[in-house]
Amino acid sequence: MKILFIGVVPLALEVAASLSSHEVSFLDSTSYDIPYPLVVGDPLDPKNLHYCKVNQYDHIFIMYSKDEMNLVLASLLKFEYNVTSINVLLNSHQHLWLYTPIMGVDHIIDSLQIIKNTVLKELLNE
Amino acid sequence: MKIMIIGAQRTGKGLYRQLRNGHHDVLLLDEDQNEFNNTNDPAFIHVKDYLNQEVYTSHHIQEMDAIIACTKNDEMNAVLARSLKYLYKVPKAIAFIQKPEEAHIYQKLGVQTISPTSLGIKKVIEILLYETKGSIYQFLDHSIQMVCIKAPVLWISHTVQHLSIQSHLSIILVERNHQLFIPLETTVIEENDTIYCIVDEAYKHLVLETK
Repeated sequence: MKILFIGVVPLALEVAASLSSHEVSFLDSTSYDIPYPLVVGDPLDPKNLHYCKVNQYDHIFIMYSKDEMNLVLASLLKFEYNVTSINVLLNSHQHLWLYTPIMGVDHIIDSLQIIKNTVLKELLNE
Repeated sequence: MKIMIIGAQRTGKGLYRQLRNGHHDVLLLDEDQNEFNNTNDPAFIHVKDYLNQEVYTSHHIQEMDAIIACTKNDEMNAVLARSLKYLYKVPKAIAFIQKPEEAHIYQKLGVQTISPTSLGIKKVIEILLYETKGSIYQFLDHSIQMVCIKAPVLWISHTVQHLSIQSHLSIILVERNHQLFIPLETTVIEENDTIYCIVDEAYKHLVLETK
């Protein structure tokens, strides 16, 4: 599968590390030294999105720490570029109401929920 | 109209004053309490987080006729305009976008955008390059006007065909050396020509100047 992460953040790098059998790339406005192909540029700039050929990806993960940025990107990628699977990081639970298909969100990456589930699983296994 | 303005900087406050003077029912929201210093106006509402749903449900967003998002953050304005328009069916949702290159992106997403930078640039260009004698005749609903202008610098040396915009702007008369004539498509506009054209609402900014 072709997978694009928008935003070089620790969680994205962790997930990417476990996807070694897939074609993983990154897009970010800042340059980082990472072991994956990285396009450096503003993700809201259509030139960069065209350059990345975003519509050719099976999954795109939007991982910025600001929910408004994530939602704008989700809408743009879904409705302007017809990306099939858009997965968006939710930073604040108070913003959950905005994470809907109307805003271009296919799947929510709820870090708080993931941590909660992991902790509960560990507790139940003890 | 019931209007919610999100962002109480200069634009938000200016809009608030104008709309209140027009007897509209207006709420003004901001995350920064300092924007509301020295006022007890109950229409000024301090919110902790623009993206918190309760901000909108508690102020009956579904009853609003319009929302105007004019915070300092373009992405925030775009998200609020789009979400409130589509999730709460607010009939008019406008987002202020400072970066003109991004305004058209958000427009593609169904967001009505206003770019103060673009408007400012357009106005300066109009002031510098266009001079008009004003509207000579307005047809029916005023959406189409006949306008007389001194040949704009950018039009000189171009043909009438090149300058006309199909269904929007049509050059019908040219006055040159005190002689009036109906131009051909191949007529080239010269310096000091006076041009009479028919123009519609969408393109009148190209020829109308209020100075």
